[in-house]
Amino acid sequence: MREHAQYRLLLYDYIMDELQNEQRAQVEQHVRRCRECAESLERLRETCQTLERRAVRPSRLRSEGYWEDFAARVEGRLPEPERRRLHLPRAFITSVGSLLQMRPRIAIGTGVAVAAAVLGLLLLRPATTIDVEPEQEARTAGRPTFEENSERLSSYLRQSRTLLVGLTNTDPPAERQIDLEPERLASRRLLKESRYLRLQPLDARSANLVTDVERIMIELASAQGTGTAPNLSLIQDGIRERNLLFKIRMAEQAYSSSRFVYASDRR
Amino acid sequence: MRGAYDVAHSFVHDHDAAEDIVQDAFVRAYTSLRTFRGEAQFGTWLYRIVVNISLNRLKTERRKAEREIPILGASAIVATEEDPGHAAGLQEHLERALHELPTLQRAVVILRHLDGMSTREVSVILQCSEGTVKTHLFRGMEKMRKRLEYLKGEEI
Repeated sequence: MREHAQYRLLLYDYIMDELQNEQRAQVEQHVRRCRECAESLERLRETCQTLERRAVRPSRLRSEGYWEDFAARVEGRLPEPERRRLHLPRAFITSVGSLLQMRPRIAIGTGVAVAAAVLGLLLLRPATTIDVEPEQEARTAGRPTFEENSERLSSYLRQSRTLLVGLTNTDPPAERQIDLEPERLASRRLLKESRYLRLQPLDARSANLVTDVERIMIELASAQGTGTAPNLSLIQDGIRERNLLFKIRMAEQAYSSSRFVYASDRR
Repeated sequence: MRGAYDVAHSFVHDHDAAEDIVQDAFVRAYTSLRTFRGEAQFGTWLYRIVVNISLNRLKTERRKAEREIPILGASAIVATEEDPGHAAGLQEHLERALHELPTLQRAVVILRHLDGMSTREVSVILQCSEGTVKTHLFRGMEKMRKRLEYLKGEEI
């Protein structure tokens, strides 16, 4: 009786052709001599066929626009500190979301790659010590002149733009490892500079731009030395979504015509 | 996210509720990424969050329904009628039969059969043994068949 109950539970796997040859042969042998299991097998097969006809998936009743805006709606539900981090939530949701659009069996298999990329970005961040003390530098150096800060900001933006353009144009084949070490080192240098600049009394637009660029630099500085395409694409998404390259170019044009001002000078 | 949405919808049978569940799942996944220990695969972990939220919601709704509506099953029928673009006939019968399964059997049928996960993956998501998954699947499919036969007979 116990044997019969065990075989009954294998019938579904048998129909789906998921049994090893030996087990399959055992089920066939059992079904030949057990009328109850033979009937169960037939009924189960019919039920499976009927269920296959459940063709309309609920998600298809939603419009494409609904799915395009989905990540933004989820992001709106995140607590404020999470939302402010580089738009990474949206990149995360989009990446994982497109992963789950596949049949779960495939999605779960490839999930590791995305998980590794996202975890690489998120988990390594607290462990990464960025060895700079810009606050100390800013506090002890005395108030820098307008020209000094202008020069540093222009230089910072120029270097950031070069780095971001390089990252945006990198298009590695999926799954192939890419070496991010040079970019990571550059981002650390720039991070030191951005932390210094943020402590200066910049005008609001400059301050926002420095903060935006800094978020990308944090992600990059925290990324592993080598990364996969999904890892890089999260950073690329962040650059694109913040429209950073455009903003930097606009700022550079503005600063070249001396529109960079101290917040305190406006009063 | 459409796969997660389909799974959530199969549990709650309501579009707004499914949206709410999937959004909630993504928020929880993102905010608790640090607690992901890599014991399960990432996709499985995310599905587990979707399934857990769905099951909790069903539990809450069931309690509420027991307090407010003495006739069990009434909410299921209402929910079916609310579905946009829902065609009558076999599709409706399938949804109804699925919705009337006990929760765990429904979960197994959805994940294992309709979403094509392996027994092992379903057992991780539902945190039960593979034997339990197989038992729920067999019983769930049997109940589905009987219910479908009944609904078909009712139509005639």
